[in-house]
Amino acid sequence: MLTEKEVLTTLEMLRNEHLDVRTVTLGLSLFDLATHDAARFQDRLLSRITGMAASLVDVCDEVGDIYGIPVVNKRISVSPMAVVGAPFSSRELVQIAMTLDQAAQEVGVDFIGGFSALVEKGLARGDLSLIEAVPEALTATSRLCASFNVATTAAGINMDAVLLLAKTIKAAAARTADQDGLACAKMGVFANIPQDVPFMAGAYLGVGEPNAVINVGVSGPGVVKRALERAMEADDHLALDEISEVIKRTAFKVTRIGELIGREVAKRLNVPFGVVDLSLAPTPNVGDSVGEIFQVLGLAHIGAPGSTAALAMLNDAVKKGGAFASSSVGGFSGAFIPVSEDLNIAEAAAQGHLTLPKLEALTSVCSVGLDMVALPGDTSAETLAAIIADEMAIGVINRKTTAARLIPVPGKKAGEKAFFGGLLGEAVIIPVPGSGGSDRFINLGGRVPAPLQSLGN
Amino acid sequence: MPNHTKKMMIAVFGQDRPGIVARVSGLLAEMGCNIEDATQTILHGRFAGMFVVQPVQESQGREQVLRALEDGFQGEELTFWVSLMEEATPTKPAQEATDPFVLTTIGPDQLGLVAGVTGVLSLFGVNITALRANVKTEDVSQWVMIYEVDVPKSVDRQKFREALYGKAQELDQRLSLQHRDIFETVHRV
Repeated sequence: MLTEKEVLTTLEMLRNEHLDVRTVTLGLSLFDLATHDAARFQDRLLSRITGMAASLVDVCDEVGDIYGIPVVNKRISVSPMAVVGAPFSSRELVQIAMTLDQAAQEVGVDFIGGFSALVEKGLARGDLSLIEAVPEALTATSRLCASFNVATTAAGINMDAVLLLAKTIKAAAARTADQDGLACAKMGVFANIPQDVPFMAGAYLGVGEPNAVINVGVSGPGVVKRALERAMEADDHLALDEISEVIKRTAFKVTRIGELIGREVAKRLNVPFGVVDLSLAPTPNVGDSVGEIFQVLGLAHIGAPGSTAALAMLNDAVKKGGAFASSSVGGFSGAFIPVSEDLNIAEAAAQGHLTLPKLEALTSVCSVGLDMVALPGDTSAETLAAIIADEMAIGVINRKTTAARLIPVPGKKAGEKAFFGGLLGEAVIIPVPGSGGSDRFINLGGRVPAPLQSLGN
Repeated sequence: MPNHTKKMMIAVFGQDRPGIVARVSGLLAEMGCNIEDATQTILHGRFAGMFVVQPVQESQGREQVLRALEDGFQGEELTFWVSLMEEATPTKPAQEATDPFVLTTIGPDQLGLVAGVTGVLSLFGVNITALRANVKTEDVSQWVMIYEVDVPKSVDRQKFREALYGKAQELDQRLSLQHRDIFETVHRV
């Protein structure tokens, strides 16, 4: 028999604290579809995705209904298209992007990821074609996401790829100028990208993954916030180690729920279960914000001195709770700080409390990086590349994933607002200190060598 | 243990106080009645206990056991009830595959609350396996009822939910229906 406490605390998590399964992502390998004939490839692509994912949405809804926990987003990730579609021209790859978008639409998923290239050590022909296709591909589609790995701790940072992608970001922004550069919100540049990410825009199916797999992304900034509020109301002398314990326990519960639902979906689809990614991924709703957790911890706003320490503790506690809850924890599993997608963070940025340098500092201890950061439209490709390179260096040296999802909003300046809509939210454009001062460095090109793995410090 | 006579079901009710179970079980032991199953709860400060016993002495009939218990608690306002149990296992309704769910209602207390909710459960052939009312919460005006139920797999869950939520609205209750696994998963390692 369940105890009253078990029933009531779980109910509270579900009802009042925005606990949901943020995303179930079906990963599909496309390697066996490879052919040099683009039309044939598109046919195969469409039938593979619409066949394998035909019941994904229904199954997620059914499982969500049984457990009373909604699966908010249903998504698909595919093998990196720069590898699978290596023989194709960028024009053909744009067509393929549209096929992926069509397939996503037909099965009713909101995003499909994997228009991706892994270029940390060099750019192959297929990678170049794909990157060339990106601005048009992300403009012509609504559900497609692209990701690029330009750096790893083992390979260093491919600075040529960094600059090429910075130019691609500028081109993608220009093509979607009427939507404040929306295309850039659908692409991320990564260091040490994991192979099993269920969250967009980074989701793709890694080359070491099975034919098909279900990965689950669970979120819960609202749950963590409420758990902390309750604990701190009950005891106003709670110390940080005790607070960390509360976060850890909450992360444990949330991860367990994610795994339960993920395994059930996988079982019903007859597909292996991959990982649960426990990330505190905010939504642009009050009460579901990572920024609000900082305020509960006693900081006036995210960005105030102490924010990096608080985020480090939060991120670590989340990982500890998740690691105990499941042997299949993967993806990012930490705290996201996407500016536009988190109302509280967006406000802190708008009020000047959260600057680009402070955001960068925060990313050294958070789960991803400079995420959904709106920048002035006249920020040069070289400056964008330099910001990306800094972010990649943090990931490479610290053996962690970092990413940059930057949006230079065409025609707008610092202080103006950019609107992306839906989950992508809105944000005030923040200034880039020292903008334009990196051109010579960035144009040197080449590769930042891999860091020494011994003598860690 | 030799199976001399029929098992008995014993029920005990009365004002709760320390020592009831100790004395009941002591009296049963003196009579050679082995306790095979037992449960107890406290409802509004009243003790309610049930025991299934197997007498190992042939002389112990229903009447003797009842009299011995009543004599043992003379003047203490405790009520006893003893009945013989049939040897055969009780006939159960045809077993159907079910899923365990937890149903909770939260709202103001009112006449017909349990009847309303359980009426819907009964209509859909849903069996209640555990029920708790008057669960204490911070807000005393909120009456919490927790039902653990087995829902046949064949039930149209959408219609079932609709019927439950309709009834909950009628009764001014917030109702939730969730698979039991969620609660176990979250709390039990």
